[in-house]
Amino acid sequence: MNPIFDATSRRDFIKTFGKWIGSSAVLSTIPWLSAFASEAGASGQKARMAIIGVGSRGSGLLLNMLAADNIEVVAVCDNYEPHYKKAIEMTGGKAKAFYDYRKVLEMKEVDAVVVATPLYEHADIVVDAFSAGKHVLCEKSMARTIADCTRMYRAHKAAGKVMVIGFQRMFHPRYLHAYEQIKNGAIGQVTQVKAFWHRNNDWRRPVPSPDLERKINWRMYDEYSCGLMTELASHHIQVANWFLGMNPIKVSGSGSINYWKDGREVYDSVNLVYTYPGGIHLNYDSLISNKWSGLEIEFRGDTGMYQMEKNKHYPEKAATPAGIRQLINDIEHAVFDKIPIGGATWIPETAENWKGQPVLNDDTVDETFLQIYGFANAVIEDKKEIPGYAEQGYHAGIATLMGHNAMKNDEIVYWPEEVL
Amino acid sequence: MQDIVIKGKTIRRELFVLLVCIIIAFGLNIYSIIAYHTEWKELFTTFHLVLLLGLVIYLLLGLVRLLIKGLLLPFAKNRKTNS
Repeated sequence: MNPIFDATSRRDFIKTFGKWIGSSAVLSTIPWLSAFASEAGASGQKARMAIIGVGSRGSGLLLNMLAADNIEVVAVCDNYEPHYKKAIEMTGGKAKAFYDYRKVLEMKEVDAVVVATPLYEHADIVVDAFSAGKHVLCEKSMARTIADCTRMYRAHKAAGKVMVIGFQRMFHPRYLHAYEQIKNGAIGQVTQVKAFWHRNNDWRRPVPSPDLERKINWRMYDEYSCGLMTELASHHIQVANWFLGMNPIKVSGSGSINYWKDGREVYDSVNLVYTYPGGIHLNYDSLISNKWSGLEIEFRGDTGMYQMEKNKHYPEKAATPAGIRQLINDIEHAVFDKIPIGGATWIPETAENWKGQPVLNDDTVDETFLQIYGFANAVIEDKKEIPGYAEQGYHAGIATLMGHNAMKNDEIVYWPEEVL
Repeated sequence: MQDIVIKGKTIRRELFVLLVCIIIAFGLNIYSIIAYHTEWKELFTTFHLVLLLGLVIYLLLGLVRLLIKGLLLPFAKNRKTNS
């Protein structure tokens, strides 16, 4: 049993999590967890934070911010009236409210901002925030273009302020635990990563008037979003990069709009093959016309496989049963099995039919909260960065956009040389 | 209703047979550890299976004994009548 799961409350959990990180070797391989080893949160200090963009994801983040005892929400901002009002309501009117994000950045009492606006707005807001000397937690994916991602990363480095891109799996204990196990050879040599994200809905939000269509359903339009790639695939691409410890060399793929022909510009079906150094492949697909498979990211090695979303580890060879069980089993087969007279010359190599074992026995954790809590600790200490974290977000953003460009231009896209 | 009387001698005999069955099962466990190259600690960790196997052997043996007794019943009756 992992000691971090003995805790019974959120406060206990944070405390235990911090202690576990501080006392284990995990920090050397997962450096961003140092934010939890910090005593900042426990000291009673608070990071003064604002949120820009309080739509569906933004309001979820705001709830987490309000729940964290190391955060004081001092401002909220949204240029869409219903979201603006909702944000005021959620904070009980205690936070200042704005329509224009630049007003938030002018506030001296704001140490950090959380950016949860539509993707295409990330770059300008984040760069302005760094120019204003704020720490930034920006929702994933990083930006709409590779140039914008690099612009944001440069601004982060120049400002010397923390940048977190919202890939919350990097704080999930199940992922942290599996990462360590895989590094220690739990599945041997990793040879393939397979990931998918399937849903069955049109992905649209209700629009009160037609002129708000592009503002509300921005995910549908190429100018603002890369659809399934930036909204869903980026999560798994980030995990693949992190676990493999490298970025892809190249990617090829094919995307189409084969079902939701409703005027959208982004694909409703995407299929990609990323190639990593050493010939390791990430096979990725996503669609929104069938949800049977759900979502998953699988790491396959010569001695086992991890299904990260299902919290399962399947060793390639199951543990040897006790001798007496084998004996009984053999006797049973000898007595009851039928003797075939002729039959199939080929037996299909169907999937293994056993249920595996959990990566962690109890992993009911809100990783988004952990991420925000760790970010707030770094803000309180006015750190320059959370070690290794900004690069994870940056490189995952680049790889995601490479995949989009490969499908859009029907070509093999190589890792850009200009990426820092 | 007629009372069924089980004599102490019968109980002792059945307990002895059960013990023998458990010893046989224990012997099978030793055999399987050697034959399947598993660990010797299974002598203890799988003892519940040994008890269960011993019970199964006892029940199977009981069926065989009943069958034999049933087959021998006519001869036993003849012997009684002749004497």
